[in-house]
Amino acid sequence: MKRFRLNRPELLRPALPLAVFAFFSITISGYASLGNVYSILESCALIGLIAAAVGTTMIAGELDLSVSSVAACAGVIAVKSSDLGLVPAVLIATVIGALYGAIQGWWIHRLAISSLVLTLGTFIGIGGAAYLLADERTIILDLSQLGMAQALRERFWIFSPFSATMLILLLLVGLLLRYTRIGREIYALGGGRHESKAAGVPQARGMILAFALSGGLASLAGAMASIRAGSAAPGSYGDLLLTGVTAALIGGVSLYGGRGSMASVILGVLTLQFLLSGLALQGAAFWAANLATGAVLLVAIGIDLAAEDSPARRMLHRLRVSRRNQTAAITSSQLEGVS
Amino acid sequence: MTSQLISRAAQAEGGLSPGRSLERFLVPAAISLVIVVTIVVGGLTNEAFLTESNVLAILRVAALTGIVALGATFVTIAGRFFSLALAQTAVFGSVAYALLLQSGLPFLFALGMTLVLGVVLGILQGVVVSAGANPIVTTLGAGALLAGLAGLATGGKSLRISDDATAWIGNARPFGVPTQTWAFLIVVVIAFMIMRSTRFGRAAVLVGANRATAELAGVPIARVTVAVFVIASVAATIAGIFGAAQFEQARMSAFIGLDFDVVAAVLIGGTAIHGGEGSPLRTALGAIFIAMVQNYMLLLGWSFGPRTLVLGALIMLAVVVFHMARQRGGRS
Amino acid sequence: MQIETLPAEKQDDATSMTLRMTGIEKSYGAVKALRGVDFELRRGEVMALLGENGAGKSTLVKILAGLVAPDTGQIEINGAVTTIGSTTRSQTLGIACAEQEMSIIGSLTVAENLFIGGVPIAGFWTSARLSAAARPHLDAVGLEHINPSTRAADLSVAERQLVEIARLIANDAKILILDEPTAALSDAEIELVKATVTRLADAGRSIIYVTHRLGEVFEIADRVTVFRGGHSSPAQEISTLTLDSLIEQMIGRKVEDLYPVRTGHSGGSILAVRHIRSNELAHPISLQVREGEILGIAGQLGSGAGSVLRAIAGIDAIESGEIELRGKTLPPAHGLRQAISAQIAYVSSDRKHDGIFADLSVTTNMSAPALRLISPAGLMRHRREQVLACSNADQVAFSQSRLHQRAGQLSGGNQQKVALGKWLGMTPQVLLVHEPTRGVDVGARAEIYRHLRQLADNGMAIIIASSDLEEVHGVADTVITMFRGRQVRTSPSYDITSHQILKDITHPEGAHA
Repeated sequence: MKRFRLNRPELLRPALPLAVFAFFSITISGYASLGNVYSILESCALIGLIAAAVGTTMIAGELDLSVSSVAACAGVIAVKSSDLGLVPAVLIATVIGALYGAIQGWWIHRLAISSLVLTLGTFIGIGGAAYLLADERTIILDLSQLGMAQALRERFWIFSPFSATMLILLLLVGLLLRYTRIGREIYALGGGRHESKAAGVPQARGMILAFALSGGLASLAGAMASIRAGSAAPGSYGDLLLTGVTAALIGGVSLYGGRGSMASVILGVLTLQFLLSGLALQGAAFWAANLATGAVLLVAIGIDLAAEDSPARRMLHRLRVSRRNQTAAITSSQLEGVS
Repeated sequence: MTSQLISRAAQAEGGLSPGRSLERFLVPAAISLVIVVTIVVGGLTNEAFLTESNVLAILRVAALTGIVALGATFVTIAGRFFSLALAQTAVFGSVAYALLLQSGLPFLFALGMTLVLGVVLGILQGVVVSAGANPIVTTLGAGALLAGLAGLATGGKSLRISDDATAWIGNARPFGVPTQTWAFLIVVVIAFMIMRSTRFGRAAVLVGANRATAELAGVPIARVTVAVFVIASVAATIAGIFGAAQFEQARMSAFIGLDFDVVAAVLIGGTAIHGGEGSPLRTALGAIFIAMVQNYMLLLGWSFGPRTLVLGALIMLAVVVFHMARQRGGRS
Repeated sequence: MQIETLPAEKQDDATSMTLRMTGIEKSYGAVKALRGVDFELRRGEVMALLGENGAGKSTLVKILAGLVAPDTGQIEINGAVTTIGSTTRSQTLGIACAEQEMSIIGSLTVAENLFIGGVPIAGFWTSARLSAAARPHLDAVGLEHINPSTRAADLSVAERQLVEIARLIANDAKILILDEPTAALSDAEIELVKATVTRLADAGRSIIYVTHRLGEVFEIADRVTVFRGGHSSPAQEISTLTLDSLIEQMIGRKVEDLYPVRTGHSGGSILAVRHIRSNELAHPISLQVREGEILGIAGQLGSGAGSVLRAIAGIDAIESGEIELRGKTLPPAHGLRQAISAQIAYVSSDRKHDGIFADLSVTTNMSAPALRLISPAGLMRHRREQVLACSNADQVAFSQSRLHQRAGQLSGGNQQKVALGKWLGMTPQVLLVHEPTRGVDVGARAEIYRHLRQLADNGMAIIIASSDLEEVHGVADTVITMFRGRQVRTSPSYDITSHQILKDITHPEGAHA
């Protein structure tokens, strides 16, 4: 069954971030400078990890709505444990997040409930937990620990420890999803839940891993971002879900499951961040980011739709057939000389 | 014999069996009971709970959330989960309303045009979703777009409204009851009537219960989908107008958290997330319950964190309980 | 027809018999699916499993797959008595099943599909390693030309079918059960599958081949077991059979009073279908239904019988040809809603999927297609709904006292009545029913047939499509037989024997199998 694919998007996709970058390089001076690329990559770090988190659950055919709350909560946890050192603090937050994710994934499988509903509940609940843990305040990194924040920002050519971590982690997760059995099982769950069950694919462990990865990556993101910023505000990262899903979608992770990869995620993140940073540099107001992201998301949804079997395409097919038959009917009646 | 059977069956109208009929009264009864218990316990343990001003505050908050939740219920019943664009639609509605008034349009015109805007927004989202897009992500994007547009229109500042009619809408108390509460009651009645007595209401239930069967039976799936998103969008717009009217200004920071309160009201009210059943009445009770619980926690001095945590826990509890009850009842 | 002689070493002793089942009984409640069945399978043979739906074949397959356990009886595998309680145990015993329900995941590669859900592979799942491991299995099923790294969705249906079989090989199955493997395939593709099956048998694997296509049976099977009404025939060498003798064995359920008397009165033509083709119908189909007539289309899986109904109902777009209803031609590529407006009602073969609203009451089910009728000006008239529901229920003998029950809780027969009855409220001119009594007990079946006859007598044009030839022969006035998308024959019921119908739908003259 050859399915109509939108002009080999796999080839199109790497071109997109390059095109955006080229556009802004021309229109804004200094856009292509090393310093600017560094700061763009910096801004990609947080969103890259979140997009990877959401993307993993999307590949499994689900969606984890709670990523932004998890990031906020992890940030609070990390900053509060910062006296243990940078790595331990981040590690603690990440492990907690991964465990939480695994439990979430297990419940979703066990209850056979829609992930949308459950993660909506956890989104709200964990968001509240963040406030609770932070005592409603913004937790600030102790003065003695400020070195940590600086360390994460340190610039090595165009990278920083934060952005480098993001790239390494996305690579590792990408390898896991691509080259291990359980990674492929996650793709199977998303690509054909029914078929995978018929083929004997274990249903629980793929789900658990996908959500554990989601929770872990989101926590890592929140932990590192908060330490780097030197403070953790429990209400932060509110827009992360939107940006994360948009980045994943642009990059080619399909909402219908089973398609996309961490490579797609990086491409999508780069495209989105190039766009947003370009807008920011041109002096757009704070709400312009929302506007742009929302618009891009809707366009990405449209493209995703066109690539799959949807009611719209079926209706189009019928219209084409009908028109063809009408023409044929007219032609044949003309031939027969029907009055 | 036939008429007897008809009348017996008529008692259980609306798509339910006597077993279900019992449950149909059981769930609202249970929620009402919980509300009563909460009122009693709340009143006993905290003297500020049952004061007139507090009750009015609860009713006002419940009203706005409730109106939007009633609209959102239709989206859920039709099997489209929920819309995450409602808070931003409310903000957008309030901004549009303020701008229209500021540009000199008479009150009724401004009101009408804002509502029309709400309809248009609903149609756009509904069309995209009926073409096969995921409703959550679509409304997520639409919401962001609307927030951005609102920011564009206001330049980030709040817009003042100085209009007598608007002030009346926002703060009047006909017969001692706030206008918002009147609106809430009216919307409850309207929503109830739509569900029970209109072809559309029945069509929405059919589409949510089994889309394939509904399609084969000739139900216009796409039209129903667009319609439910229009209803939700208009409800959010109405809430936006009320919100602006109450404070006599349109702010971008208003309605934060509305989406969650709305979903919480729908889910705690027991409307199934996969659609095919649901009742505006139950959602209304759910909205009242949440407003009460939030208010009580506020009186206790609880801050945003623990309150949100409790809200999240309540949602999950309700969802899991209803889900398991359905599974045991042999439903999908 | 192949005549195969067994090698001298192969004797029917315990060791060369890879599978022997004796005295297997299985009941589902009051229904006895298997009434003391014996079944055997030699190593390296292709055993064809024949019989109608409901004769017991699928129950036997389920037992072997470990999905259900027999009530009594003994199972021996390679001479050792054993029980198969679970799917894992079945797999361990070397039994594997390829169902009609495809289990190929389109977004994964061919190689990944082979190994996912089965035996673990050491090390990372790199493209190279997977391809190397997949190669021998793909070659064994005749897919030498397929690159294992291709996405499964890019393969043809036949190729995916073969990949499913390759997966069985990859799990080193010794006993393969293939359920209708060629149902949806073209001629060339069927050759591919047949060649693969023969090759696998020659390599020592034992194959249970479930099919309705007798041509294939004569070409690749060594022996045949026929199921009928829960009983099985002893295994017969194919060389001892002819097409006709085999068909004789397969027919036989003489339940005379199941079918109502045909009145034989027919009026003017209601529906005329001329040379229609659709996405699913490659060859033009023509038929005509008169007032008071029941037209029956007999055909097995892949015959296109259901597709004819779907085309008339507007679900599949008609690509050429035309349909005339009471003299008026339907618009080209008419859609479902246009068909419904023209009073064409369609009842699908899968009521659970799209025939009933399981969570809603029967009343709501009954009124669903007629929403416009019971809601003038958009307002629901509940009284009208009740009257409509009661009237529909009466016409299908559904008890009015149960109208308020949830449709999902009803028995199969009652659910089917609801799926059918709901259309009566809009007084259809044409009623299209696909598999009218699938999963329905005998009592309800008789009732459904009776009501179909009554509706026809009252002037409705009815077309049923069914894989149950007795049903078609018994109920319909006119019979159309179909095989692999082609219309084989159109004949009045009294002018055709069951024998001929079965022949037409399993191996018509001139068919290439």
